[in-house]
Amino acid sequence: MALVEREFIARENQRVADFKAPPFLPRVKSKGLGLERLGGERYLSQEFMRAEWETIWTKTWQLVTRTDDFEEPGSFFVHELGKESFLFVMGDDGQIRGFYNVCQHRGNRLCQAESGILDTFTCPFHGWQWNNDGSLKSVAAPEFFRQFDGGVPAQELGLPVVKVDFWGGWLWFNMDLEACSVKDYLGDIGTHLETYKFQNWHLIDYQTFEWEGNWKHAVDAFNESYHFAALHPDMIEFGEGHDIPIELWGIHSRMLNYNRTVSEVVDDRDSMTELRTHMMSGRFQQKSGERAVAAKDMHLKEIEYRRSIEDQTYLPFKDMNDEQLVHQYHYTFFPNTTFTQTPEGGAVFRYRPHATDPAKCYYDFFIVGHPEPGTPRTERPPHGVHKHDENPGYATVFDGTFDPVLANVLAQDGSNMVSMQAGVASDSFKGMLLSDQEIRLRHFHKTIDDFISGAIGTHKLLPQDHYLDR
Amino acid sequence: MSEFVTVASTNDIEENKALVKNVDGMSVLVCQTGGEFLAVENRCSHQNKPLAEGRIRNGYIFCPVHGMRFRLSTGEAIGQLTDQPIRVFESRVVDEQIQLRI
Repeated sequence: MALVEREFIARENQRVADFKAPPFLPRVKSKGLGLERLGGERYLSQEFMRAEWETIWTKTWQLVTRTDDFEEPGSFFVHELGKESFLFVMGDDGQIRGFYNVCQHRGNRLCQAESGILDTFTCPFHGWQWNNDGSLKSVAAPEFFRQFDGGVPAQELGLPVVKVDFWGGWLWFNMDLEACSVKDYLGDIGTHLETYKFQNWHLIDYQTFEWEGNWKHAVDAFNESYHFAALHPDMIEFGEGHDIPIELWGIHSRMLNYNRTVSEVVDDRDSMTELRTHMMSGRFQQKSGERAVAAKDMHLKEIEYRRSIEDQTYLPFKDMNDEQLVHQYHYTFFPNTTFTQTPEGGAVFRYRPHATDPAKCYYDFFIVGHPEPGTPRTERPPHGVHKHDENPGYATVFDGTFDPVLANVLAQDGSNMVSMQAGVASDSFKGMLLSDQEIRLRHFHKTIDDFISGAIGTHKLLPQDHYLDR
Repeated sequence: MSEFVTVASTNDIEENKALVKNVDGMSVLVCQTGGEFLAVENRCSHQNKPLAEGRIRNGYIFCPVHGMRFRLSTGEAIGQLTDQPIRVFESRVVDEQIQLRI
């Protein structure tokens, strides 16, 4: 048991209730998933990439964008996943629909702007047009087509649809029209996050990084904290990632990262250094007047403070367990979406495969916050797609929206993608040895294998307690 | 430098709307956004189609043909279709008259 966990459990005045998000502590064990090595081929192979496309990407729920991006009829958003492009648009009836973004004439990408407002979608190539409900509006010079001698078959030429759904203020889609609802897909572990009231959150920034590594390396990297001490030495100065609680829930999983403490692997856990002061001073901390404590105990003071103001704040402290008040609740929904947050804000990560190259992926980073009610939405920076080693760097990309210390952490993760992709391709590599602190990786890759084999799927989900050893 | 010329009254253009005016043989789009009156050439830099009829929201205009977005204050193109800005004209309001310098 980690030191911080002992300190947390020994607290006085613990709030115990039947919270929608159950606390991690005391820990619930996960069933063992074996000790075998994880081979490198899955990160390199075109064949494996194809199998993932057929059994995972075309069958699972995918996060698109915030629903409040659709402000009025004609509001649209284009999203790319692998080889496909999708067009999401609000029709004149106020309904948001999703379509394959493909001109039904010659197969051109129909809408080539990422977002905006349009009543009519016109293919840039020959000018065929579709309405904002996906129905065909017009064919340029239909008299040239003998196929249309009996009339233009508008029904057949409508844009092919995908299934859309809404959860947490986000639009989701699934290429499988028979898929269950996104709420059922996320299951009990999804309901944990309802306590954050994501529907009231605002998107502050959205940036994409094209990384030179397979998408699963990115999921792997963000699904464990064992690497903090080595790769992110800053992170253990203001949080704990060493020996943290992890739970596997069906095909999804969660872990707890401690904020406002100092890792037990650091010698001096007491001094308030400049970095610790900077990273532990959230907007509530200054008001608490309780700074004269050891740095490692800042989280305990903050929890006491947040409990003391739970009747006065708009933040949903009352509905949250003690851990949630301050610590990072990190949830990954299979296959590629991570929500990690505290009550006042956080981030959503989305990992997307490249269209053709297993050695590339897109890492999407959404910064989100829970503003006071009535706060108007502010214009956010334009969405950019950045390469890992390009200028400007991560801190500049997120200038004003993300702390430079954390932007630097992201740069460290990005640098690791290239070296992991290269390393696992070595003839000498025998496969990954995964520790219990990396059990989410073992679980994630087993879930992928089970989707590919057909043992499980969106129509055959695992019971949520399948891996929980209660 | 040319003189300012009056092209419309502020009452002629509602918020998030635009008016097409021919000035010195050029088609100019005079817009109101955020209470400001701004003017751009009525021609998308992507495929040279007219911008009139494009939706105006929060300081941007969306080309009605392919959805290309431009910042009305600077002409900056936002998105991947083109990086070519559209032409913008200096504007001012004098006694509720919108004046442009072409």
